[in-house]
Amino acid sequence: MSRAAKLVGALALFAVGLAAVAATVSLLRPAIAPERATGMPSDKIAELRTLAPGIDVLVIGGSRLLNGFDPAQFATETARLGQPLRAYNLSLQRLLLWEQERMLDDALALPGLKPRLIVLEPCVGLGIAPENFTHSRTIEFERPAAWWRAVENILGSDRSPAHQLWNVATHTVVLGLHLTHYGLLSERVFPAPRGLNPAPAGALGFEPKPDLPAGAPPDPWLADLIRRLPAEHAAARTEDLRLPPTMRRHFERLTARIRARGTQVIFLQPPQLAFTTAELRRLTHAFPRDFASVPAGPPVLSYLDPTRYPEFYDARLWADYNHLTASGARVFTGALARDLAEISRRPPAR
Amino acid sequence: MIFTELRFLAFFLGVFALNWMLRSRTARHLVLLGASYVFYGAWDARFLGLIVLSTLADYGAALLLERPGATPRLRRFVLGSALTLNLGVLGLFKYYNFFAESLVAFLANFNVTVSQPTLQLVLPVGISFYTFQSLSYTIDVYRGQLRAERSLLSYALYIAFFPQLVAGPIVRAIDFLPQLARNPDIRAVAWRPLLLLFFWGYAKKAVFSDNLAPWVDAFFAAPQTFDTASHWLGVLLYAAQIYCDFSGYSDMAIATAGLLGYQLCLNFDHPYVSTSPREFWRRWHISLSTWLRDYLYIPLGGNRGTPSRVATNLMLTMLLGGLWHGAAWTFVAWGALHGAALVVDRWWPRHPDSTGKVHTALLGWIITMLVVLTGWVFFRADTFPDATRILAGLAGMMGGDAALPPIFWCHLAGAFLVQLAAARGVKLARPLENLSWQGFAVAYGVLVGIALTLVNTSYRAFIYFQF
Repeated sequence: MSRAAKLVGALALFAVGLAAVAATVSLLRPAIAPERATGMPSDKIAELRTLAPGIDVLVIGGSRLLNGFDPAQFATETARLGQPLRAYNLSLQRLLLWEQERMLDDALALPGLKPRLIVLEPCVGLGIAPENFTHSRTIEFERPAAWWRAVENILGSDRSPAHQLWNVATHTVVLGLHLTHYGLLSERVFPAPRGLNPAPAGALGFEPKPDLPAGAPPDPWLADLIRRLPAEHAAARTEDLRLPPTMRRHFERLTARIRARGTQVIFLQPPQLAFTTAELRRLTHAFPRDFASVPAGPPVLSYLDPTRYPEFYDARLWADYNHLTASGARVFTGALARDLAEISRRPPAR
Repeated sequence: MIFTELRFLAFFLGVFALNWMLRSRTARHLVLLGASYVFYGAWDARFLGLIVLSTLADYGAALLLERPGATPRLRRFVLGSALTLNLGVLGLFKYYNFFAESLVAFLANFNVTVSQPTLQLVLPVGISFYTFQSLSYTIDVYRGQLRAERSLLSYALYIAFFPQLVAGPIVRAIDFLPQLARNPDIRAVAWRPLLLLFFWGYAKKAVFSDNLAPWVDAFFAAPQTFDTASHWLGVLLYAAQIYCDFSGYSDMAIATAGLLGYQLCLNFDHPYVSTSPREFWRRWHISLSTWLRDYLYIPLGGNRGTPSRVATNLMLTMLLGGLWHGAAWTFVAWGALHGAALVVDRWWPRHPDSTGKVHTALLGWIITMLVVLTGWVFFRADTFPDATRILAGLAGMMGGDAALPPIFWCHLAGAFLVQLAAARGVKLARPLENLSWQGFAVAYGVLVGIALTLVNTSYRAFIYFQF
């Protein structure tokens, strides 16, 4: 037998062994793993289910909102402003576009949930760079339909064909891993620490980042970023930039779906000090103009302008270039409460 | 890019195919060097410059050392310059802030206030590993134990060879450069042992280390909330985690290099069965401990001289070994503890009749494990107060009611028995190695399938990348 034939044969037999384990685990699954431990997304949906009838505002974004928006403070602030609104923070670390859609679908399917406002963060970065997924969560969403959404977004991005091909391959392999029960039994054999450091009661999905120690100087690098930010913001030219069509369709689809329920949709760009790529910076700045400037487009609350919102751009409020500390979250939530209370007084745009 | 990532698999398959498709040794070396730079650049391409600088400096220094007519004075100057450059770069990136902060804190004790001139420097991954490789090469050439490498390509590949670039093993030029002088033959590759070694390394990292990590993190984040038994379990779990993490990386590195036709040295040899601190250091991070022995301990005088001189040599070696791991006083304390243990071990009275007896070995093992576990407390804790709190908890002097799952005692006992059997020469993988290639392929698929169901799906970097 030639060496090539032997290699092909070995790979085929390897796949047989792998499939045998997958089949065995599938057969035994009801006995050994009756419920899949799905982690944060399911936990959040489960908590939201218990709170659903009382929620007025649903916030679905990435880590900037996960660490930056405190629904408990929001409720207090909006009540003080005479427009009481109770919110739930359904944001996730590294939220991908198709995960956002999935979270929205799961939330809207909850009985009794009738939010007046749904606030979406356009996480364009994770739309164009889906290799940044978190395995444990992606698995939950990796069903054929979600896989196709991922592929659609990847092929619609303006990455190079090689990059797109790699991302499609990665997601396809992740789907394959899911089918082979990737990580399914780990918590059966190695129990995960649950409840040791539970989120504080009443956090409503908010996960604050710790403040700097008392008296500690702010990170000089962040201070430098903030000093340079006004000039960079002013120089961010986006007139010629359009969102990738699939990304645009994604946001249009979400907008239409939310509005069909009689709910108002708002896109929210939280403050940010830096971007990992120039492409991400351009797309983020292009979003409000390109997407929301259309007739009857959804409102976009953008806090990216350091000149307009100087209160956010203080290095002591930042845990890193992307995330506010708990003190920063207090300032941001206060501003958001004022703006959303104002918007919720107006008749919704259709 | 790390060995447990999907993109590494794609990367390696490409390099593997190219390496064996090419016939020319030079072409293979070019491919491997390019791949190594891509591998490192995937983390941060800016720091490739440091590797190239180190490569060129030591390559040139070695040639100068061998230049006909080079006087001893010139040779000393060249060696000194090479050492200064290598250690200077390492010191700047790894230790500058540590020493600046320590100096400021020290002066503050005397009411002397100085501004803290810290730099925002990122620690280049693997810098401690490749710097030690460069140093050993130049020192070996200076000592006349190794001929200077004429081929810049071969030398650059020795420094940057991706399987061991970022977390070792620390490969000696004397072991690796001769391998580069030969063209590896694919028929000489021991596929089954190497594939099994890679699998075992992957399992140690992705299944064991990563699944223990959440509990270890939870314990070290708030040790005061755990009861005494959980203090012991928490520290033991960390011992298991760091072993599985680092030795898992080494296993994968050795296997990856082997699949490309090159041999790397053994880095771990079942360290937790050691019955003395000296034995522990013959089994733990072997490439570092032998490096420290050959390039630090022996030049300091080694075993020669008075007992106090030997003890000083041991302490200095281990203190610097501790500092090698990280720029923090807790690492220095870890090194000091091991140094002191080695000193005591050296002069510990041993009765000839007791050698080889079970009870002696058991006592030695218990004492050694106590030293090692105490050391891991300092190694893992962020500060001295944290470490002392954990030590107090181990002694039952403080703690809360929270408990780690008792099932982990069973896991640890099982893992220890496997280690013990392997250390005693039981070849657990032999039945698999003896299968036909068809049987091996199916069995390997089954093993990988089982591992995939057990891996912790959260991404975690290797612990030793930070060193």
